[in-house]
Amino acid sequence: MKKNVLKRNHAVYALVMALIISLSVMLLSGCGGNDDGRSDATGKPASNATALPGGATTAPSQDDGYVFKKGDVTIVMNAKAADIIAALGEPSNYYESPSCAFEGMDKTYSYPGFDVTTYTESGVDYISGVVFWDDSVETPEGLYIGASAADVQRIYGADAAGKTNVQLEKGSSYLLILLKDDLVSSIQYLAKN
Amino acid sequence: MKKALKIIVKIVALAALLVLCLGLLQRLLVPKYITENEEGLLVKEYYDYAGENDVLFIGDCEVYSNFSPVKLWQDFGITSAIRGSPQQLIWHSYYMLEDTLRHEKPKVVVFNVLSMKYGEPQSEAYNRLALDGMKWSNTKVRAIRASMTEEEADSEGFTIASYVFPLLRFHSRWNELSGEDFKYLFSTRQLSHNGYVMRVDSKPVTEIPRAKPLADYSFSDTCWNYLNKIRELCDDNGIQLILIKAPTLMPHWYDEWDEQIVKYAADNGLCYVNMLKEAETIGIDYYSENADTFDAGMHLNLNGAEKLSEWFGNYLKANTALGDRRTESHTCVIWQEKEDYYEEMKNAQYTQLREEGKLTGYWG
Repeated sequence: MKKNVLKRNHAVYALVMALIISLSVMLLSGCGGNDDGRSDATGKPASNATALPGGATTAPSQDDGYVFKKGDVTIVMNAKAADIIAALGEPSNYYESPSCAFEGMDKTYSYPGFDVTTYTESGVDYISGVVFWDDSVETPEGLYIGASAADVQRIYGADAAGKTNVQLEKGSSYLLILLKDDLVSSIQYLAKN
Repeated sequence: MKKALKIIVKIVALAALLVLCLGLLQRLLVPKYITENEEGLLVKEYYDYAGENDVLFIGDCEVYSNFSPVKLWQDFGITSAIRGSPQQLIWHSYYMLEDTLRHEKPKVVVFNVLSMKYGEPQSEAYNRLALDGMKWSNTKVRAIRASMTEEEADSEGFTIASYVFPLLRFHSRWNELSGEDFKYLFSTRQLSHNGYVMRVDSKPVTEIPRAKPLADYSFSDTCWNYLNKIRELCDDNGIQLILIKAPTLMPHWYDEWDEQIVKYAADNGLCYVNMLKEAETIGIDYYSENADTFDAGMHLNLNGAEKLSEWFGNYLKANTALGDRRTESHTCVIWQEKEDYYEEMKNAQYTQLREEGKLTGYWG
């Protein structure tokens, strides 16, 4: 009889210990550890990274979208920035702004007629945007600052007449066209988060 | 009967053991914010200096890096606290104010308007920095609900549970644990000076990128709604609300944004001061080798914060009914301790800067 009680007690202890161990294993490794090397646990995602508890981390996407071409260099949104920046040559100006608390910098590289901006994720810089500043540059499709709303319609098929802005979406990018008095006043490529 | 009681006692003891283990595990895995992301300490620290603060600053790094409550005390006898957190959005600020009113009732609330530019939750990580340290109350629950990013809202139940049990959020840190996690398992370090985060080093502004034109300069309805809620909460409690824009050059503050705040302040009888326009009067040096900024114009360093606090102390004297509390012996004793720690950290940072040429941590 006593032996049976002891056996039953051992079974209860074993069950509880198994429960504790299972819980610990589940909590420590089971759901949501990143397998791509990016840390979300200390809460470090850069502005374009999303780290969720118990979930996956969204990687920057760079599928077919609007691209800007400067000479032989093609600038794709959310693409790794290092090779692109190197190929563009020495910028006329450079500015970096650290985030409030987390690692990573938003960087702006200025070239004649346009700026390229980048964001940092897990120590790697990615393209976040391109801004045109004058009509010395144009999109591969042929739009430039000073073009007309009719040109926007002809090139991109978007009705821009009488509007102050048109935002086109394609793949992982936006093309933002600002207009003033039916003339293009700004062209901006933006990476989708 | 006795046997049943024994079994119940054992079950309770084992359950207690399980809770204890999980509690310890949670303490171990939650980030300690000592050697990185130190600003994660700010919201929790507030409860150590809550009470009897006449002025409350709410906002993002533009308040916790730029205003020195110790300087306001030393020069004007004004008691103040900063409830700031990195990229604090306006709904965070509203709930910070609501939470503060559970602990004290300031006479003046100063809100930095930069966050009006963000109409939607931006990042789960910044939500954590703003909300993890907040004491539990209905206010915190509503703050969590208001702050959720789209992804967090998709699993709302889990998100809220993960604030109750941070272990659910930080469990995967087990392979990143360092000595810091064990050293500060049951203790922490004081980062701020009534919410002010000190940096004594300098990095002058050399270049400011051109501000790109925006498609739409109007602030979102959500932001206006929360600004109204902040104003109404202040009104209901007899608190004077002052709107400010701190004098930091980045991120860019557009004239179109400024005009909207000017109009809102005028329509509602509020004081609004855009300190960017006062930078010369304040005497902020952005460009010399010993500039008043430590990161090329985004935040002020100690010199800059003290200059700004001196200027703002005079502004408060001129525009509010705040009195000089340096005649209160009890208050003087409390603030003497704060001044001592302020000097201690200042000396430690200058020493490290002199000996190593750079700052590697807030504690020198």
